[in-house]
Amino acid sequence: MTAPAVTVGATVDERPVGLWTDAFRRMRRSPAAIIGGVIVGFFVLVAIFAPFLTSFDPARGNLADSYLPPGPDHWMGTNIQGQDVMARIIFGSRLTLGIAVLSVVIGVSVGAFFGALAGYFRGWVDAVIMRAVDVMLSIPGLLFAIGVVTWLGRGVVQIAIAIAVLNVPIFARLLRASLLSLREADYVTAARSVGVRGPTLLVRHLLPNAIGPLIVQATLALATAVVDAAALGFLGLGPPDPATPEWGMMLSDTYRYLNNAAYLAFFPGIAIVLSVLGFNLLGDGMREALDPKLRR
Amino acid sequence: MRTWRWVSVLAMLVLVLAACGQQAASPSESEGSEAPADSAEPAPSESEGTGEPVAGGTLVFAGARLAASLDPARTSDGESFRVLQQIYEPLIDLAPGSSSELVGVLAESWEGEPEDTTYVFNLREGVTFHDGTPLNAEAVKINFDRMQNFVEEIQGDAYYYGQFMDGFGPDNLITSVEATDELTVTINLREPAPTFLYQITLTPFSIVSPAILESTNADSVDGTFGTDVVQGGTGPFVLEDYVPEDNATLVRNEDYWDTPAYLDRLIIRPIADPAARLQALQGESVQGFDLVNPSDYETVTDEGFSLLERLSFNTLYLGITPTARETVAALTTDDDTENDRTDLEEIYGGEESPLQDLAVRQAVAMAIDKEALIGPFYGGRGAAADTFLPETSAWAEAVAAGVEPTTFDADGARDLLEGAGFTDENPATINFWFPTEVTRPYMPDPAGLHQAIKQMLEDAGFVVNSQSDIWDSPGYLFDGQNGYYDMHFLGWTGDYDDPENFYGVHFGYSQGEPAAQFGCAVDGLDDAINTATSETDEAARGEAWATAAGLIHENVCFVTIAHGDTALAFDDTVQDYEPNPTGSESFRTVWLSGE
Amino acid sequence: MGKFILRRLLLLIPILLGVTLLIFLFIRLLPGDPASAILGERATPEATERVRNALGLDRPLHEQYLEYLSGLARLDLGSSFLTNRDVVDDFLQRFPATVELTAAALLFALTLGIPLGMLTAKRRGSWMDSAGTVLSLVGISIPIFFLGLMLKWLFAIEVPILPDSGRISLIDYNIPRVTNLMTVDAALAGEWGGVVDALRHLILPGIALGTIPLAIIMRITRASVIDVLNEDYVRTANAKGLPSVIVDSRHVLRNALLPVVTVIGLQTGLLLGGAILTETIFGWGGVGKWIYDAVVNNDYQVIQSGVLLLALIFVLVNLAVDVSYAFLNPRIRYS
Repeated sequence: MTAPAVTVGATVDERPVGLWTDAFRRMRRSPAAIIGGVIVGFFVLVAIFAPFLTSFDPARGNLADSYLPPGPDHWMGTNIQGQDVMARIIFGSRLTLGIAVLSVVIGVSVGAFFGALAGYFRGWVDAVIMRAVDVMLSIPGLLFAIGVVTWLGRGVVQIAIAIAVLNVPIFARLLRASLLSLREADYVTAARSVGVRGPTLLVRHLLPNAIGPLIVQATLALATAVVDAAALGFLGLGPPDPATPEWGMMLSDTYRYLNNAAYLAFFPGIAIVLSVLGFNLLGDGMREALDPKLRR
Repeated sequence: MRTWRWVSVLAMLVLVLAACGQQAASPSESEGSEAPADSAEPAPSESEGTGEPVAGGTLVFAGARLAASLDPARTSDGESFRVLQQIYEPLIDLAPGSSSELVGVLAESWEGEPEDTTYVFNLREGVTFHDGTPLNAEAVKINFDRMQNFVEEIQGDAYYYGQFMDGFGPDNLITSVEATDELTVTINLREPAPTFLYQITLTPFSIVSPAILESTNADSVDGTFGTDVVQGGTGPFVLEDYVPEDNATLVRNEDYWDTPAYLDRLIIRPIADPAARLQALQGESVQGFDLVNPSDYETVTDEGFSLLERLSFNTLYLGITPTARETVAALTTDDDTENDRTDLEEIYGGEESPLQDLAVRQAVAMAIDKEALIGPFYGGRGAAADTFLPETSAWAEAVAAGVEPTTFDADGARDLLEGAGFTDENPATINFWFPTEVTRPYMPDPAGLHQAIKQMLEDAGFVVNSQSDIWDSPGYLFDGQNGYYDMHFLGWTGDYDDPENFYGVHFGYSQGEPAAQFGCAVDGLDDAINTATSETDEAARGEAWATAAGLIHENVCFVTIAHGDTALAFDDTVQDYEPNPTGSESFRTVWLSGE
Repeated sequence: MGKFILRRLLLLIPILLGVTLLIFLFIRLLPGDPASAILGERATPEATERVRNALGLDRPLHEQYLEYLSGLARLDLGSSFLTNRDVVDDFLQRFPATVELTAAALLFALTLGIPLGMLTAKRRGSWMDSAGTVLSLVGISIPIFFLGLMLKWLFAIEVPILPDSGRISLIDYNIPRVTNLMTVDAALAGEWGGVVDALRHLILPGIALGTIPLAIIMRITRASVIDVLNEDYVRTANAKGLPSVIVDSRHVLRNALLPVVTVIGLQTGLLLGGAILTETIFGWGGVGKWIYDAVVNNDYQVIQSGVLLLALIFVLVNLAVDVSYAFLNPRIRYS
């Protein structure tokens, strides 16, 4: 059965490529996607090149320099420990974005895996997995994450896992829905009619087309992951070492800063809002670009 | 356009509501009075308005936390006392604003000198508990006996009783409590205890209605006295409602044996963050709060609120417990019962504690730059602490004579560590705990102080792991006081002015064993403390405590860090609040002037 | 219709069972132990054993679970280890606060979100639409705690026109708790000033909590209205010359609302759980903070039963949403 499959495969494989080029072109024209992309790109660069962007050690402070207002030495001022706020924001991007990316990767992988299982095999496998998903979705998300962190302990990986757990049911549902709808698509029927079966069908035909919505959702999940990580930090469940620069933890000091040095409360908050906005814009732009309805 | 109509209606509604509620003018227009900041005497309250107290009104006050338990005998922290001492009263108490003068409360008069072993208390006539039952000698006996016979499970909560009375059971300090008459109580001690009278002024020694104790099954672990909203005290306020983490609502006791309170109701709310407390005052949700963040002192006065400063009568210290890891390990090796602390076990990882070496402890002491902390964390209003006693204590000088202060020397600390065999490849690793969800008079910013000190230690070559737990019992308070932590922060606000309340309470041996919190076993310390405790001549007492303190500081059982000033803030309607350096304060005298 | 509801209700059971099992196992894995939590002191082996026995903690896991389930069957959800009060009592005492907050947030989100969504849908492509899109994305991007703190700082402290925390001014009003809904209780007590005060206290937390739902509802409404506007029957109605006002309400709105209703259902669930942060910032005595405190304090029963109750409510709300579908669009059939 190999020869015909190769031929058919060649034809069918054109579709995903076509989809992507088309989508890309449209994204380039969408202001939302561009702005989002620029913002995300900016933060990614900041995270990668952090050590070169500042001469200060974000975790070291000189008590004598406590609460200095923004000035030539410290562009964003210092906090109570005398640590440079800008350095903490810059290095904080590493931590916050790192946690977000890690959690989405885990969430997507695990969620997509189960969703694919459910969508492909159907029957009781589907029923069991979907009930499990329902259960997970019934529990308030933040509480679940708090519970996971309390169980696993405080640490970067543990926090990422806690947030990933929130994403798993969403991606499971998504992938299952994609698979279910795609099964009926013309080209899948065509592939089947020439004998493409099972795993090949799944991997080479169904999955590539399900990836579109997946990527969109993943981008949006990155946005919520950043917020969730910050929320955990805000509630005091962030990385255990208080010197660690993490935007959420920095934000939890906002109360105190509002009375003495209001600007200190804004910087971490604005960093979070901007990065989340970037992901949302990008994800939104991608969704519009990939929307089959708008393609026609 | 329909949409705009919706939006504008909503906006108008919001504005109307906002304007509707605007009552009194914002506080910045009022007179604004400052409390005198001198240290000669406790700051008197300022009554700007009419001089005569009037009854009526509700006072909403914010503390850092609510009570750890509603059972006074099972509490040991100032926030719990704040709530409970409005409801329950002891036999005698410190005079308002004083840390050394005694006045009779439930006892009208008493007999007993520091050298005696027998104390007689003559109870006031006609006093009833909030539930209507009468106060008599039998009730007092029942209360004292109850604490003496606490079952093991409860003993850990009854910190003060255990510390002051040398443990529990028939062989402790108290040999007998007798109701020699309807209104006469006689307490016999095993040996003279010069500070006994001061000790029983504390809230845990309050007298509770025996009927309530009985109905709530207060002697048993399952008893509900600690959580039920009951009316079993004799104080100026009655407990009306209590919602954990939310509020304690007290109402005036109309049948109080002395001048009744002026306030109709007193509501105490917990707001853990000091800046948030200030915001609550600014936002008019509360009319007063305690433990103002030192960096907010200026804001408070600038905005026209009253700042009542207290003399600093507290000390922040770094508790060092070389035996912590062994203690925790011992908990786990017990058979199959799970009273183990696997969470702590995992943190310690079975390693031996580097703190068992005196040189390492000395390095810890030398690594800390105490002066540098005073500016950022105490707003400049405080002092580095060389001994446990605050500078305002009458005994400060005498005790300081026996203690050699440590100088800040990071390099010296490094050398000591190397000498002890620790290098960069094999560093001394310690676990350092700090509490969350709390501010204490000596510790306005636990997380901040922790971070700063951790950095100092790391600069000297230590590797420090940050750990934290919530301030509560169980929780940080329990674990720390029972010596489960390598190193932790705690502090102490004196209950009365005597070195025994500082050194004695913390380092006194209990039936042969050094205090669990520090595991500080030093040759001769037990005897030194006992000698000092029982010494009745003032000069000799001072010297004896100097000796005991010397032993403690030499062995670096702990490192005293700072003394901090504290203050309360009120809006301009609140009058006649009387601060006490010990924090033992009553709302009975407080009244609200006209709006 | 009835059969549909019945089926969904029956489905509830395995889901809720699943929730109890998950939570049950989960909290057994939490560090710490309620026995040492209650004991305090040098928890001697005998003492701990005794307490664990009393609490039933020494029995094998499956026995404990069955015990819990049988309690559920008797409608006994256990009592808090720390306060000795029935979980149900504590929950009922606090739940109305969360309901009030959620209602305020939803009201804010709906009264602004739906009209704005319709507006931007009809003016699609204009500057208004772009501005709306950007604003809604910003709205989704602001973390609740940041927004809450900024609102509080701005409107309660810098420009003090609104209260900063609490549900009512305790200084001025002493309202007896009947329903625990502050607005209702104040009205019942005849304190109209109290009603106004309670409403004022709802404004800032309501806005903080409702901003994200507002943004989402706006976007969903927009997308949904766009879809409907392109539907044949609308074009037909327009072509027939029906004035747009009538076309709006009867046709467009009703059908456009379908997905919106779904989102409302989802949001309600999110709001009930997500109120934790808002409740913390504004000192609001609701269930979010209550359960959070329980997790931190290892109060098993509260966590278990509290989360179960929340899950139950969430599922019921979703069911109500699905049922309301049928009323909104008779074309939808249920098998």
